[in-house]
Parts: sequence; structure tokens; C-alpha cells
Amino acid sequence: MSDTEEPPRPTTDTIRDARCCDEFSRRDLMRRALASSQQQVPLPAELLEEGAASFFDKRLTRGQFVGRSAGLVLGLAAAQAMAPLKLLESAAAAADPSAPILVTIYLGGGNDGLNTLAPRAGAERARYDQLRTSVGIGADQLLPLTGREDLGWHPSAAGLRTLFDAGKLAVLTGVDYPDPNMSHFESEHFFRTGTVSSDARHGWLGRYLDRVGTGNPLEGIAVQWGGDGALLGERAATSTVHDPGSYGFWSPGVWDGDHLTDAWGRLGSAGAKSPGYKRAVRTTRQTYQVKKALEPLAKEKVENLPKPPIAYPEDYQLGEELRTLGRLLGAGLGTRVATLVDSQGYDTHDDQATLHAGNLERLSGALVAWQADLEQRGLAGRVVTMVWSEFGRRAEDNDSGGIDHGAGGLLLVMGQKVRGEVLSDGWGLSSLDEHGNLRVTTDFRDVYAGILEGHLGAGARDVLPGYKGSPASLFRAA
Amino acid sequence: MAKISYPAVPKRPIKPAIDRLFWRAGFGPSTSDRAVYAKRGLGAAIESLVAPPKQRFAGKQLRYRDGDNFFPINPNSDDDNAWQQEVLWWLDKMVRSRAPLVERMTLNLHDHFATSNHKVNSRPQMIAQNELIRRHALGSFDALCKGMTRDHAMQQWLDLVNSDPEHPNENYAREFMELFTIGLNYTQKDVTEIARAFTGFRFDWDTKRYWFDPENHDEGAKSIFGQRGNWTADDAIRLCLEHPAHAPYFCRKMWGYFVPAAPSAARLRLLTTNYKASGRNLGALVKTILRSPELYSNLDQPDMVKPPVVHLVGALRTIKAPYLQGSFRWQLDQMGQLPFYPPHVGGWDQGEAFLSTGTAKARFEAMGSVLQIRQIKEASVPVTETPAQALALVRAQTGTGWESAGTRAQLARTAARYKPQWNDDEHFATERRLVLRHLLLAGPDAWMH
Repeated sequence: MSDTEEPPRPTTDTIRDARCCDEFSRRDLMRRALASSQQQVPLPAELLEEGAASFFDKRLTRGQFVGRSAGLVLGLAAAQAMAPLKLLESAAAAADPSAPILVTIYLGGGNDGLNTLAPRAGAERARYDQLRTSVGIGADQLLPLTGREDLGWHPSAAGLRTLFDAGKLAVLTGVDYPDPNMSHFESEHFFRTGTVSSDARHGWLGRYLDRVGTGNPLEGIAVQWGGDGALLGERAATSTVHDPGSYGFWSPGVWDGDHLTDAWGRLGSAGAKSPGYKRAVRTTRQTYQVKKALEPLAKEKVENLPKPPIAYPEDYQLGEELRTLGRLLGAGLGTRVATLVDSQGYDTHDDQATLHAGNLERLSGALVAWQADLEQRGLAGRVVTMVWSEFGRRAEDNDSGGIDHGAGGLLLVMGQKVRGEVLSDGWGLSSLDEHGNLRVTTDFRDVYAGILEGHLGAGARDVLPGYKGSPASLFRAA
Repeated sequence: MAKISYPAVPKRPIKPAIDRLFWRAGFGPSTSDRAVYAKRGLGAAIESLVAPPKQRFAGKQLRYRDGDNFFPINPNSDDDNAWQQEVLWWLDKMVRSRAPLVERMTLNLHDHFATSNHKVNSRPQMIAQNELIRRHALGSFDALCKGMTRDHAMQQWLDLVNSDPEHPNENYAREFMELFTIGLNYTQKDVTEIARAFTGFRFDWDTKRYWFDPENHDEGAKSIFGQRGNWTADDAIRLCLEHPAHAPYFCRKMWGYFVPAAPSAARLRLLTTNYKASGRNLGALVKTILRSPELYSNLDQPDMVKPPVVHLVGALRTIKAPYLQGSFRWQLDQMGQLPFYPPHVGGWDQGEAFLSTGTAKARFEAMGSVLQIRQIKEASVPVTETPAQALALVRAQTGTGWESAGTRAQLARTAARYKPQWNDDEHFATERRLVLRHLLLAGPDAWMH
């Protein structure tokens, strides 16, 4: 394989091929490598085929990476010194190069957790077969879950299996809030605010940034075009960055665009009365700061950048956005939390078989690429990725080849230090609730609390209003 | 039955109140709106909006520009470059509308009944739904709900077609209650029972035919909100509209499209009384809102964020755009509100939620595309033009009505900084105007109304 070629994509085909050839020895190799050095082996070797060797050969040492990031930070500081951006300068100085980072990925519409990790054997499986007559997945189709006989991965979720087998994926089933109402909007709102209150205005990550933020808008990034309610705080400065190159500010016929944007960034009256106008003025100032901060990244030619070790799935927005996020985190801009959304395609009231398989194939491919990207950048020790959805779907399918809204979803926590196992007993299909829904066995706020206390170093009660639960144990003892 | 009574409109200050009304109820005032209604008063201005002229659109459909070429808008075309033609089709209507409240209510109700062509995947069906909303935008909400339940785009969007009596699909039933009529005031039992009442709508993939099949309708007894009967789809709609939670839920939501602060208990009572006494007429409800003094609070500092579509259309009407830009399609997407493609069935998060650093930058660039329609010819601006003259001129041409003290000061500083860079420099005067008008249309003040 030549240096200029893309590494192979982690399609399910290559994964299946790898498995049927010599699953055992490859898996063995990987485990041995894992055991020899936690730092060194990020990669599901079986995904790489011939690419694996070249990836490991070309890997930069951790030292090289730190050096490279430091260079970018210095470049950024120099750019800022020329601009009157005192706030950003102090923020960059305050940016702790070892601070923990949380990335959240929202699966919009309500992911069907029960088919993502389905019962594979025993009484649960028999019950599953009764409930899921049209969208059920044959036990022989499921990919085995290492260490447990009773569950198996959706055949299109090979990437999840890979990550799980590498010990980098904690899996929780039955995640929701007590007495779930199965509404997209209420549930999304609850998950975003970290409360079960319709009136809550601020997001849980916004409240976290209210405590640890320094006013640098790149501390909280929504990697998309619009904002994210989870990042909305009282004071927290946040930004939306779809692409570093997208802060160009074009104006027809104008020769000196900098004069224009310098003036634009100062428009409006800071002493505003109404919350709406206050936020409009603040958003203008922050947008200008972000434009200045991203200028060095925007000048990079994407085709000249080092390729991610495993290619992100093509024509897939979440994959592109994760790749962008990798560049942003690599540049050391002080980012503490980032949020991403994987479309709304998980609301599978009909045509579930096709839609869900496609969703899981792209998602799990992107997660594998993301984890490898982080490891190559030397960031994997700092970044935890949480994948959530507003609810699970009904245990029983409908007659449109789909499944209606339900409760008790699947939540994934990915990272180097997570307890890489299924952290719950299973779906409990024999004890559905009165609406035929999966029982809620983990309150999502316990997961948030576990991440806040176990990863972000914040007090759960300081960030989650009225929280009285016990934080989930998600991470291995250090 | 209670009688309809409207609040007394505030008398002064008349000029900013007229501006406020035409922005919240449409896409900003024209020069003539300002002149006419400063004399005739706010009440007359409201009447002109709720009882618009028969001829709804001025002139002929605009063309759109892509690169150096102009094209007719054709939502029925299957050409490759015809993507999202429905967006241009509606933009043209909003720009040319002589019934701006009808278009604004069509936008509000599109948000309320949010349906996305991402799933429907049919421009003709999306446009048919849009015309359905436009027909009823100031009319009977009951008729709109009945039409919506039979609307093909909606039937595809919320899986109403081919919902089977054996296992009825709950999607439409749930959202019809939660989002369209009564809010979170239902039980799971109501969802399953209304889903049964909504069975029988059929669609054939091969022939693309839609029909109602009584054989596929569950005729059995259903218990909806505790009332038992062999309810049909229209019965279920009526039960929702007569539910005690409907009027307060719906009036509060419609109010939110016009006024950023929630209505007081007394105001909500008046809204629901007028709404019910008018036989659930949207025109009567909106007229009550437009006459409420709360709509005219904070006239010295507008407190409501313009939805991106309103910001764009308002700018296009301000410059009297003779054509549209093809780029508005992706620019609206980046601004966070691409019509016909709401993010989900709950519609767009309104107000402050429209504001982010990404959408702010997108608003800036969309305004650039608007201004490109009225390009200033190089060296056509006299080098003797003073900063004050330049400012007065761009304010008259592209100002949207309100400037904060901070913006006024910054504009003056910016205007003053443009001086010739070298002896034969004629560009600086052009540059000054280009920069000032972009600042006027794209700054935070222009995001508010």
C-alpha cells in the first residue's frame, strides 16, 4: 500500500472476512498487544488487514504528537497576540493540556437498543422471538458478545463488537428515567438538561462549563451548524463549528474583509435588557473570537493533513464531523466538551430492518475510526465518548415493519479507561411494564453523574439540579 | 357562548409600533406601510393584515440565479439542478406576498405541523401540504386538522398510511395529541385508542395511489379520554379539539410565535375565549394576539429573535430583490431553518435557540448574497461622499428599522476610517458603502424584531 492511498475502510465485509479467515489468531494477537501496553495498542488490528502494519509503522510517537500540538497552540497564541483578543489569550493560557474532554453523540429519534444488542439464547431469546415477529434478528445472525452467551450484537454493528473486545466500550441497557413518557421532545429535553423537569432551561454540559469554563467559546463545541441545548448555560461561552474553514465571512465586492469583520464583531450594545438581544450580541462577539481562533486551522489544506489511521465511513455526516473534531481537539484550543448528532434516522416506525442496519453500520464504523483517530493523536487518555438516544423502542414490533416509541434504551460509554463490559443484567423481557415496555434499570442521571465524577472531576450534585442518586461506576480504578 | 372582544391597541409611539407589527406579523414594513399606517393607526394596520387583498402576490414569479445564469423556479422538474426547488418556490411567494400575515402564519403552522421532505421525498406532496396550510392559515383550525390527517405528505411523514388495525402505528396518534392539539395531556391508552381510530388510510407503493379503505379501519369501540364510542378519524380529531387542554395549549403556542414572553393568565383567558367563541378560527386568535399590548413592549430594544427565514425574506423585501439566489437553499440550511426540512416533527427550536456562532456566520454570508443582487458598480460612488452621507444613504436603502447605541457608534467609527489609500484610489468610497450596508443587514440588531 502506497503512502498516498487511503487506508481500507472498516466495512462489515472486511471485518467478516477477517473473522472467518483466522479470527482466533488475530484476536489473540490483539489481546496480547493490548496486554503489553495499554498506551500502544489502540487499534482493532483485524480491521486493518494489510493496512495494520503500515499504520503501526507510521505511527508517530507520543512525544512527536505532543510537540505537534504544542506548535499549533503557539501558532495560535501568536495569531492572537496580533488581534485584540485578551479573553482568548487568557483562555489559551488557561487551557490545561491534560484536562479531561467529554464528547457526546446523540442518536436522534430513539435508537432500538434491543436490536443493537439482542438476546441470543435462553428464556429471554424465546420471549424476544414472540415479541419481534417482523423485525427480530435471527440468533444465528447475531455477532457473539465476548464473555456472555445470552446477548449478541446486531450483524451490522461489527465495529461495536471490535471496540467492546478491545475493552474500550462500556454498555448499559435499560437506560431512561422513571415513568418514561415516550415523547421525543420531553425525553430529549430531559437528557439534554440532565433533569426530569420540563421547565429546565440550561443544558447539563452548559452547567458544567458554567463551573469550569474561562469564557473561551471553543471550550464547548457543537459540531454542527446549529447550537445544542445541552451546551446552553448561564454564562458558558460555546460555539458551533461544522468545519474550521467555514468561518470565512465572504462579502461581495469588498476588498478588505478583515476591516468588515473587525467592525462586525463589535456591533451591538453590550448593556442589553432582553435575554434575546443579550444573547444576540454575545453570539456576535463569540463568533468573531472563534473566527480568529480557527484561522490557523482554516489555512491548513485538508488533503495535506495526515490521514486518520482508519478511514471514516464515506458520505456520512457524523464521520466527517468526528474527523473535524479530531482536528479541533488536536489543535489544543481548550475544548472541554463537544456534542454531535447522528441525524434523526433512528425513529424507525417502519422499514426498521433496512434503516437500522444502515444506521448501525455507519455509526459503528465511525466510532472505530474516531477511537483510532484519538489514539493516533495521543488524545485517547483524555477523551471519553458517550453515545445516547432519547429512548429505546417498544419491545413488540408494529405491523409497518417498524417499532413504536418505547422506554429503557441503550447507552454506550467509550474510552481507554472505561470498564469495558456490559454493566447491566440484560433487557428483562419477561418482566415488561404495563405498556409492554422494557423496564428502566439505570437512571440516565446516574450515568451522567458517573461521567462527571469519574471522568470530568466535577461534583454530580453541583451540575445536576436535585440529583440524589448514586453515580454509575463506569471507569476502571486508576 | 362567550363573545369575542379584542383588546384596545396602544396609541403611541406609533412609528416603532407599526414597524414592530409588520415585522412580527410578516417580513417587515415597506416604505408605504410606514407612511400609510402612521396616519391611519395601528388598528387599521392590523385589519389590513388579517383581511388581506384578494390578489395575494405582486408581479410574476421571480427567477433564481446560479453562477452567471438565471433559471425559472420549477418544483416539478426532475433535473439534477432542481434540488430543493420547493424552497425557492416558497421564498418567491414570501418575497412577493401582499398578504404577509398569511405567509408568516403558513411558516408558523409549517413549524407546528413540521413535516420534512427528507422522509416524504416528494416535492409535489410537500407543496400540496404547504398550499393546504396557506388556505387555512387564517381560517378554521378544525378544517386544517381534518385536511392534515388526509394530507399525503403528513400520512407518509408520521406513518399513517397502511397503519394496520391489528397493530396500529402510534406515530401520528401520539404527535397529533402531543404536538398538534393538546400537549402532554394524554395517556398511553389514549395513544393506542386514537391510533385505532386513525386506521384505514392506504397507499400503494407501485401505483402511488392513496385511498381510504373501510375494510382496514378498526370499527370497534374505542375509549378516548374516557369517552367510549365507535370513533372514526374525524371523531378522534374532534375529541382532541374539544379536549379542555386544547385551547390553552394551542393558544399559548401560537402566542409564542409573536411574543417572546409567556402570556399572563388573564391574557391566556382572553385568547382561549376568542378562539373558542370564533369556532376555533385562526384569524380571530391571531387578531387578538396582534392587538395585545405585550406585542409592543420593549419598542426601544426589540426582544425577539427573527427566525432565519424572516431575516432573509425581510432583507430581500427591503432591497426589492428582482431575483433570488440559488445559494439561499444551502444558506438557509446553515442559518438553521431550511423550510420543508425541519429538524424533526417538533419543528425548529425558536427564539434564542436560533443563535449560535455557526448560524451567526451563516446569516452574515446570506446577507452577502442578498447584497450581491444589488451590486454597487465600482467607482460609481463619488470620492467626495462624506461618511455621514454614506451612512444616511445605506440606512435608507438597507436599514431594517432599529439600531442600538453601540451599533450606531461603531457604524460611525467604521464610516470614518475609509479614506483614499493612494492618490488615484476611487475604490474606498465604494468599499465604505459596501461595508456599511453589510453591517446594517448582518449585525445582531438586524437579527431582532
